[in-house]
Order: sequence, then C-alpha cells, then structure tokens
Amino acid sequence: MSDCLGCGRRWATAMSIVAPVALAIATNATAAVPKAGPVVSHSAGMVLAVDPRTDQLVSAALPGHTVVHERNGSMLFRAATGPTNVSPAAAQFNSEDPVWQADPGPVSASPGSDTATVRATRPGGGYACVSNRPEDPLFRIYRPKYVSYLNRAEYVQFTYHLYKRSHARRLGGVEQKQLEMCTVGGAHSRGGWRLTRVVSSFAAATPGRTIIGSRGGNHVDENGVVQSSLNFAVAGGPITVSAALTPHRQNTFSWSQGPDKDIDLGRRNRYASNQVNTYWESPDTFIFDGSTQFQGNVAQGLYELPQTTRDPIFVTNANNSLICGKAGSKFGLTKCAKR
Amino acid sequence: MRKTLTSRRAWALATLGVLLALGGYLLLSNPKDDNGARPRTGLTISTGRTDSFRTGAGFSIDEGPVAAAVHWHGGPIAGVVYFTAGPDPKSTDVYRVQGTLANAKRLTHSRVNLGVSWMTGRPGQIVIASGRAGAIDHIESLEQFQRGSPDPGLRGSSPALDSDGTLAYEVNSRTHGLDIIVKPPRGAARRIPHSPGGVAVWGPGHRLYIAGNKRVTASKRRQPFVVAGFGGRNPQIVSLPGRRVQPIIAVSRSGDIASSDGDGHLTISPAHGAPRRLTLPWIPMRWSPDDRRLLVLRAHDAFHGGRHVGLLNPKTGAIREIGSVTGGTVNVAVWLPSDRRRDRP
Repeated sequence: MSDCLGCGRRWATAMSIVAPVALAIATNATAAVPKAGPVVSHSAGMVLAVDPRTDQLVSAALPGHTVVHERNGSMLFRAATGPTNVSPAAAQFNSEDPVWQADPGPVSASPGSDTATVRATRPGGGYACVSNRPEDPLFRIYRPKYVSYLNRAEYVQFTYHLYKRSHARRLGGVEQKQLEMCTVGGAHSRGGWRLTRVVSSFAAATPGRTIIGSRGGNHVDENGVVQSSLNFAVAGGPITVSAALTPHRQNTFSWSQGPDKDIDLGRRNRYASNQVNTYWESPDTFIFDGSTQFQGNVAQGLYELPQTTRDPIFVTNANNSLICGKAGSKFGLTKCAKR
Repeated sequence: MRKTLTSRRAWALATLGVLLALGGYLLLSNPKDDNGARPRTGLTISTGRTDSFRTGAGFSIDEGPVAAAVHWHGGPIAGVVYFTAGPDPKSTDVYRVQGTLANAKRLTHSRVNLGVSWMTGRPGQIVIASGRAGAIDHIESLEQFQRGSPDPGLRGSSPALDSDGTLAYEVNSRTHGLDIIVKPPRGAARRIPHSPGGVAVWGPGHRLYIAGNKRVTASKRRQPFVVAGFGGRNPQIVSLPGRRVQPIIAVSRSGDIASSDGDGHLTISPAHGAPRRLTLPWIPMRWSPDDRRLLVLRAHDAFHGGRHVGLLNPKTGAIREIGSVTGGTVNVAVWLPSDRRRDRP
C-alpha cells in the first residue's frame, strides 16, 4: 500500500517526459514514411451515337491524355496519347501498346429475344448492366460498347450500355422518348503501381438539360457487390436496368451528377448539366496508399427528349490515376514498370 | 537491477512511440474508410439524391427532391379551376383555384422530373397522368397520386374523362403509332387504333375530338384537321385553316373547337359556321362551363407553358388577363362549374 503512495506523482512526472518524446517519435515516424511521388493520370473516351439508318449504336474513339502532376496540383507533364486505334476485341490482351479500344462487348442474348436478360460481361466475368425486360417492343437495347486499356502499368475497362424507351410519356401534348446510359467497369494496376482513383463519366451532348435522373453505386454490400438500378416503368411492371460490380472493398465508392474534377466532357464542361460520374478513390499521400486490387464503380443516367428529335450523341470518358508504390528514385516514378 | 529497469523503460517508451506514430498515420492518411464510415477524402459533387434513392430493383416512388412551388397572382374566376404548373415542364403539380388566382392551393408535391404531365376531370373527380412510377406515364386519380399509392395505375398518356365517367387515354399501338383506349365506368374497354396524334377531348354527344395533321398527297404540305366522333359510327372531319394544328384543343359543350397552330394564331371553329382565325400569341386551354369564355395561356405551346392566364371572348376576340405565375409556368387546366371533391388535409 505504502509503495503506491507516490505513484500518481511519479506517473505525472513520467508522462511529462514521455509525451514530448513520444510526440517527437511519432512525428519522426510519420515523416519517415516514404511519401508518394507524382500522380500519373490516363484518360480516354468515346463518342456514341445511334445511326438513324440502321438503328445501331456506333462509336468513335477520342484521343486520350496522359498527365503527370504533383500532389499539390502543379502539372509536370501532359501529352496526348496519339490517335486512338480502334481494333478488334481480341487484340487488346496481346498488346503492350497504349491503345484505347472501342469495341462491342460480348452479348449473351439478342435484343427482343425470349431470354430473360441481356448482359455484357468483362472477359473472365464479373460485371454487367442488365435489363429485365428485353421483350418490350418499344424498349430498345443497343449493343454495348467498351473502352479498355492494357499496358504494363494498368488494365482499365469500362462498358457503356444504351437503352431507349420510345413513346415513354406525353408532356404538354408532346410525346417524349427516354434513353438510359449505364456504365460499369474499373481498373487494376500492375508493375508496382497503385491505383488511387478511377472514374467513368458520360453525358448526352445536347444543348439543354435533358437528364431527368441518375444513380450510381456508393457502397459495397454484404455480398461484396457495388450496384445500382434505375427504372423505366411500363405496363406489367417496371423495366429495371441494373448494374453490378465486384470490386475490392476499400476506400470511397461514389457517384455524382455534374462536372468531375478530372474529366471535362466537351470544351469547358459544356455538357456538365447532363454529365454523370462514377468513381472509386483513395488517398495518394504515401507510397502504400492506393490499391493494387481491382477497383471500379457503376452509374446510370436517364435522359428524356421529344420523340421526334434525333437521338442524342453521348460522350464518354474514363480516367484513372496511379502512384508508384516503390520508394527510391527522386522523381518517384522510375522504380515502377514503364507503361 | 537499475540497468534492467532503465532498459525496460526505454522499450516501453519506444513501443509507446511506435503506437502513437501508427495512430498519427491512421489519422493523417485514412487508408480504409469502411465505405464512408469515416469522413471521405477527395472531391464529391453531391446531387443530394443519394440517400433518397433506393438501391435495388423494383417500383419506387420516393426518388429525388420535391419540385418547387410556383407563386400565383391575379383576380377572381368563376367556378373551380385546376391547373398544372411547375418550375419546368417535367416537374409540374396540381393547383386548385376557387375564388381568386392569388389564393391557388397546391394539391400535389411531385418529385423533380416526375410531375403531372396531363390532367382531366369532371365535378368531383380529377384524373391525372404522371411519371411518378418511373418517368413513364401512368394514369390514376388525383387522390391516388396524393396518397402515393404503391399501385402506379394504368399505363397510358393524356387521359380524357367524359361527363358520364368514361375514360379515354392513349397507349402505344401494337404496330406503329398510338391507339386510344375507351374505358366506360361499367363494361369492357375498347381499343380504337390509329390515333391522329393529338390529345383526345370529349365533346358533345359523348364524342371524342382529336386533332391531327394530314400530309396532302404528292405534297410536302400538311393539312390540319380535327376528327369529331373519333372511333364512333359517323366521324366528322373538320378542316382547319393554317399549316398545322397543335395537339391540344378545347371543345365546348356546344361543339365549338378552339385550336392553335404554334405560329401565333388561335382559331375558333364553331359547330355551325365558318372558323375564325385570330392572330394572338395565346393558346387555348379550356372553355368555361357556360361556354361564353375561353381560358387561354400566353405561350407558344403547352409543353413549354406560359406565365400569363387570360379569358378570351370568342365573339369579339378580346382577351382579358386574369392572372399570372412566377417561378414557373402553367401547362394544363380543367375548369369545372363546381366541385364536390374534398381536399385532403
């Protein structure tokens, strides 16, 4: 009992010494953690349009960009990735060249068939935009298009699915049609790189605001799936277009409507009022931030236009950011595999 | 002994330092946020809809924010008038005017972009079409809409309610174009194919009136017309002056047709006699219950709507503005002599 009479005072004295020391050690330890080098971002996109003669979805790839910037935002390097090459789907997995591709994905059932669902899947399976009502004669499911990119630093793939419901409703005597764009996909870093952000955006390139609804994934559920769904309601129940993805459960999954911090669709965010973005992101301060797992997200946007107008052109863009996960070089990039 | 104690203290201090360093790093870098359990890093542009949207398939009626209200100004009007008005053509709500326009009462609170797209009625009964069931038109009673019933109603657009309770509405044709479904209060519904494209209105003798624009043979010109008695035994074609007719017309109890061409002309086609074409930037909405005045809207078309509401004297062509709205536009009106319908609290 008598041994503990001075315990409190001794503890206070000890803490008055220990606390500053511990704080100093903590500060030094934090400072000793290697900070990440510059952030490398890649982006590329497509223009999608419905050919009025054939009623098929056609695509044209847009030039991509590579941007290297410090974490404080100052840009170190920016370059166009050159003319985009549209090549067959099979070529993408054999190519080490930085080639953005815009190809139709595999479709397991033709539109209008009796098969319950129409889906496009990533080679190897995993994610899809699915409609539950392909038999509705006024509900058109277009063949999906996808953007994919494979090199020694990353693998990126996003699919873009377009659905149309003609004669959806009549506003002020004017018949309206509705189009829904669904995007699903993600990225996977390679060669010592770590993924810090992956975002996919799309917008209807119309002069005015035509979007009437949007939705995206914002969490990974208990089954490990991030998903969203948006309804077209018709006789006999709603047509529901659902999107689902199975990413690694880590960091922030979210979506937004409007301009994105990394993506500019059209000049000076010209189509921002119709833009939908879906992204996954993580901190990028230290070399062990980011992810080496597959990450991505899903989103849908519903657009409405008068029935007699032409179907709008859609602009899409996918962007991913990487940091080098290996310490050592001054520039912070040279230790990782070159793209 | 003392040396051992000093060594132990040094180890304890080092361990404490490492733990504090680890805590500091976790606080600074937030490497795993458990899907939003901690504050997020980076930019998030929120539309404010994330929480109100349901995730998963199925019918949902609670998506998005409620549309803003419009503000009414103006004087007295006889009877009871129901208007649809909203901040934009896709986010309209039902307002009821009994007395003066300035005292208009908002009856519905629809979601943005999922508003009331059309309205019809008779004393004691209002029927609307709206996009609340997933942005595609469904028809239901006003009370059903106000309750937010899980039953979305009938799939169809542009309902027209006759004085005997017969409901006509349009649906997509099985082949091409639009069909009209006529559903009496008792008995089987019937389908009338090949609607001319206008919005159906009931006229005298329980006859349907629908406007259309017919392409003249071997010409690019179109001939505007109205079918009186569409789907009946003796349909009558009424030719209209001008190049075209807007899809929305107003038919009086005596059969007078009011139409507009979208180019600033309003035409009154009496049941007996020659049509009168007035150069007025107003579009017809509804005849008064006594057929002596025509409720008109200063607008190019009903889709974009207009802010100013007036009364047209069809004999003189004079228009008296009776009121206006701010913060949006008016689109559709139903004018009843009286109203046995009771408002929900």
